[in-house]
Amino acid sequence: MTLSLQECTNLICEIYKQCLPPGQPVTEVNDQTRLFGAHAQLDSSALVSLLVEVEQQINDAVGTEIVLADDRAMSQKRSPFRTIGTLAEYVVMLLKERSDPA
Amino acid sequence: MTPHKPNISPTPVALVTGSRTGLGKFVAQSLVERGYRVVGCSRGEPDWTLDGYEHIVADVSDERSVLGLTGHIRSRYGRLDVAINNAGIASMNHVLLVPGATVDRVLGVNVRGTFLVCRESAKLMQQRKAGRIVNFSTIAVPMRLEGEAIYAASKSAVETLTRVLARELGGFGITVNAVGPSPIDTDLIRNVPAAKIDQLVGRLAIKRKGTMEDVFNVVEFFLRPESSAITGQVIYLGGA
Repeated sequence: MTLSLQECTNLICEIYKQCLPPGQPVTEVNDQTRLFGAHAQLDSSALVSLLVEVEQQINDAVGTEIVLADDRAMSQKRSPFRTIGTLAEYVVMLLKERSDPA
Repeated sequence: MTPHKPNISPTPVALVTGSRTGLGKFVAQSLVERGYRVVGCSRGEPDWTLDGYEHIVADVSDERSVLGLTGHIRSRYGRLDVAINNAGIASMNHVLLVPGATVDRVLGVNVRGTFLVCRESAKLMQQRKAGRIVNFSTIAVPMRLEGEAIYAASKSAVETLTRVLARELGGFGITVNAVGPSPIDTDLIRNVPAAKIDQLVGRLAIKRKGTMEDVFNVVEFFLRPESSAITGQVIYLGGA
């Protein structure tokens, strides 16, 4: 089993809403939503929780053991964790590599 | 897509690394007696079984292996309450006679292994906002024992890891502590001459070798619900 980009994006959007600090108004959440930086709503702790929760739920759904914070993600000049959309793309790429190691 | 939620065990679940023999076996069996469902691991199969205990062959220094181990716990039990990082190897020799490969091997199991198990265990524990991690140090750290440079250095790293993780994971309701046993009759010291052990014990405040019960007493203390404010601590046995 694998997940489409849209399914990943939807899953991350749902987890994102759960990770917002209590009392934080939920504005429109979509693939453009920033996960860190100037206009981000998550603090560093909430970002960690989001990444862990995404990783766990993806692994539960697909039966894989992917790690989001791998060497490649942490060494890229443009972090794959910038927005919900870039994170979803990174997840889909990792899943594709797992299903097609060649 | 609806995320698959694993079944959640009604029984608290503990992971014990290096549980095939010795101290790890004793801790695993003691936790089963205390009502935990225990998952143990080692690089080889154990020659014992116990109701409430499941063994997984895994190498803690290998990331894929650890991911497989914690992935199994997640899918089968849906929770992890306790992680005991007992797996460790020692190399006792004069520094001028220690091969580089031995350094890699000791750091791989003792430091990298402890780190990987802490990281993946904490991912499971943070879901319930509760967890207890107990790492293993040694009295060789405060006593600066000659002949144990790499082993003691690796455990110094474990102690620092313990203290920093205590801060990083405190917000998730996870405590991280360490126990530093005095010499115990296990495989770890089987190649150390008896006279050397006697000399070491003579430098302790409590002049006897440690027992597995001594160690489990400290482990159990860290696991108590009343110990939720105790984190980032290292307790040495024997008054080192």
